[in-house]
Amino acid sequence: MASKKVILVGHFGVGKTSLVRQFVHQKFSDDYLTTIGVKIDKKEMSIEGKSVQLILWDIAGETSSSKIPQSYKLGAHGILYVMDVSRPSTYENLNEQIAELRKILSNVPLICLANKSDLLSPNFRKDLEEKVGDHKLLFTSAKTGENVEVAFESLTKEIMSWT
Amino acid sequence: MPQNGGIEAIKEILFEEENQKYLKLQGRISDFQKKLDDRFDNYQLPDKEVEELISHITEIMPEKLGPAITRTLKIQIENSRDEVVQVLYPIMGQMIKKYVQKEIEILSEKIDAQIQKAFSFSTLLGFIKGVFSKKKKGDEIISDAYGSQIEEIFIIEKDSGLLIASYSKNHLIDQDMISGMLTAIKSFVEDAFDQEGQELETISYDLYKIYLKSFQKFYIATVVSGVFTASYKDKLDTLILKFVEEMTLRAASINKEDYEKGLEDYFKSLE
Repeated sequence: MASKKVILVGHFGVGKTSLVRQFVHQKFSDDYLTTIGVKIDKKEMSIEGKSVQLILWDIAGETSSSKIPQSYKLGAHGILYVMDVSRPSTYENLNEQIAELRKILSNVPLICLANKSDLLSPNFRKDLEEKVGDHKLLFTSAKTGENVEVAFESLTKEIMSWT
Repeated sequence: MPQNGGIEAIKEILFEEENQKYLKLQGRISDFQKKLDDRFDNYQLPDKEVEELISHITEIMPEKLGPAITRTLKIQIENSRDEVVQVLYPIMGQMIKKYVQKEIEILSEKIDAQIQKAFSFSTLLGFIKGVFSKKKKGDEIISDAYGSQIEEIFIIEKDSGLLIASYSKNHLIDQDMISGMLTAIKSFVEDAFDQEGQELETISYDLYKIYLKSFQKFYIATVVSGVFTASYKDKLDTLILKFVEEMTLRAASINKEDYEKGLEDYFKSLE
């Protein structure tokens, strides 16, 4: 079975770990675990009859006191860029952040996830969609489970057609 | 006068003195009760007094109760020897094993350093004699005696941390997750020290050593239990290089199964 590395990136506290938990364990939790700035999980998926194993690298968002090694992102086959719909600061510099990612992962499939969609207000939605532009965008909620499975499935499909 | 009223009047006359005594006594009891209540309500033990009391109790406790507790424990241990051994054995065993292993490593390194340092004619002669009589170096003897053993080997893609192939004796751990975590730890340490060309070489974990050997596109992580001596590391290095050389030559045709078969064959020779 083929293994693919998927990285989850985005600002601190946007819900990356909760998304992974919801996807891998089907359970929402508020705990946020970081040790060396990354948490690794895996999940087997079947896409159009083909089995694939996703190795999920949940990379902590950088804070003023922590620097996360760029090398964590190397060799990734797919990127989930996670934002918090209730905090515009988490998507204000989205294009610069994606441009930075593209320097090391040029053609890798990428999906933007607007997480905590259960807290979404119509004003923020419009603003967010403008910011995301041409990138693929999905509204997710790790709390309710909305679109979580869909997000990982869509990315896996893109990875499989890309590789 | 009604009959009852007459009896009451006679009672009053006959028990007048007793009644007065009774009322007086009742009054005194009430006073006493009130005084007692007031005293308890208003009484506060001064902090200093409490502190002194506690300090005194703490002081005399070991002296007064110590022997009794010791006696009780002795009796309890004596009566439940099997249970105590069962509880303590794994903890003590691990501690002793770890301590002995560490001490042997230090001793082994000292012996090795001594052998390399002493380069006089007689030691050189002794060394040559040793070579011809196939005598082993200090740490080789120790390594043989205390059984360095390969538990797991992982070939891991350097950038992605994905597992290419593996060899496992017990299949106890999730190899994909371990490969990812090892790569993350390796990246973290190398990034933290930020020294060009320097790579993380060993990770110590309880009774295990994880030895990392990097190549251009992948690295090999070998989990070794027992005493990981310099000579064992040398042997391992030679074997890894040989393995990689052979696999690289066959790279165009081999697959994961070939890698794993090759790993098993190669590294069994070290056991």
